[in-house]
Amino acid sequence: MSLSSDPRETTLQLLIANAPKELAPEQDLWQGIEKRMDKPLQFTFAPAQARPKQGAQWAIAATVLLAMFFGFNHLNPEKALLSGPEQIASQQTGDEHALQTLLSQIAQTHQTQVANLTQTPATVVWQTSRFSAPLEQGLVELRQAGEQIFQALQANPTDKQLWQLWLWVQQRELDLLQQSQKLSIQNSTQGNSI
Amino acid sequence: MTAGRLPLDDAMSEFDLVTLASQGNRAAFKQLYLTHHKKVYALSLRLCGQASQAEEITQECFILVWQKLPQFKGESQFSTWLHTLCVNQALSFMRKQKSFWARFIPMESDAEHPSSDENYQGLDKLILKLPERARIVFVLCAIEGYQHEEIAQLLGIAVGTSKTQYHRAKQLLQEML
Repeated sequence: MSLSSDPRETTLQLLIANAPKELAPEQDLWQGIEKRMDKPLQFTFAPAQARPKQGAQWAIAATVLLAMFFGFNHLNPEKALLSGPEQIASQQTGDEHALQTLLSQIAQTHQTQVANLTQTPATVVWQTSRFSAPLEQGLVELRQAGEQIFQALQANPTDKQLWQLWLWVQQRELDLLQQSQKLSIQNSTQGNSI
Repeated sequence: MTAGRLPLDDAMSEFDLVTLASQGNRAAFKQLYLTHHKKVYALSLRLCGQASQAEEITQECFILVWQKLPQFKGESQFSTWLHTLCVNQALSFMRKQKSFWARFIPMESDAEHPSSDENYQGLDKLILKLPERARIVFVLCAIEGYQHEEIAQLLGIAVGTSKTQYHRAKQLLQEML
């Protein structure tokens, strides 16, 4: 520590050097901590926070596949015209089958994500939250819409706009579930990372 | 949880206590709390400037430690990890407080209401009288040894602003002496 010629600067440096490392709180803080230790641990929510990313990855993958599928057929009309009617019919049946499989896989993954989100401890508290009613209503409507779009897609799996709408509805459902979980967390300590 | 009730050996190292606490042993965690809570409180008080808030930050900090302990892999010392966590927690707490009060007081003012507790002595008595931003920068730089680049990153301000606030704090403190 270099001492300055200014006596006030010197005094300040001495005060900094002698500042105690520890200060005692006026009251016992342990009891308050111990009570709150019984609440569900934050780290149990961490995987849930990662789930929307997985959902987004699925949505991106599905969008890319759909774009490739529709783009291929759109950009190669000559190929379709040059092929025989049987080949076209056979090709279309194969494509539709692949899309049906993709549809089922995405629906299954989405159901798993929803199940995982609704099984977290936070949702137990969420049920009692007075802020949750609009979210619950929104979830019900989104699920109904998602089911109708899913049925329409099963009948017509090559409808690009229906696909986009279905993926959007699924993502919104996951977003709403995430928001509903945030409602339940008291004294949130998120946002801190080491 | 039976692991939470196991008695502790007096000769246990901090590493052992951290390991036990991360497995849910409350006695080990309490021991860690008793060892470190005064340091956490001192840092919290100096950063936020109010005893009641510092107590709240200290509690939040240890609850967060309890929750995050399973993620602590021992790559740094526990005290270093705790210190970083405490700084983040204190700054986060203060941001939340500020954003809440900002709804009612649109004009941001530097004239905060520091703790009027006369129990503190020496530097702490003076620090509590500093404006908030100057106090935070001064505490992190002069007492905790952070570089201005680190402070700027933590607070989301320019390095130059950090230096300005530091010199402002020093000037104010010297005037108080």
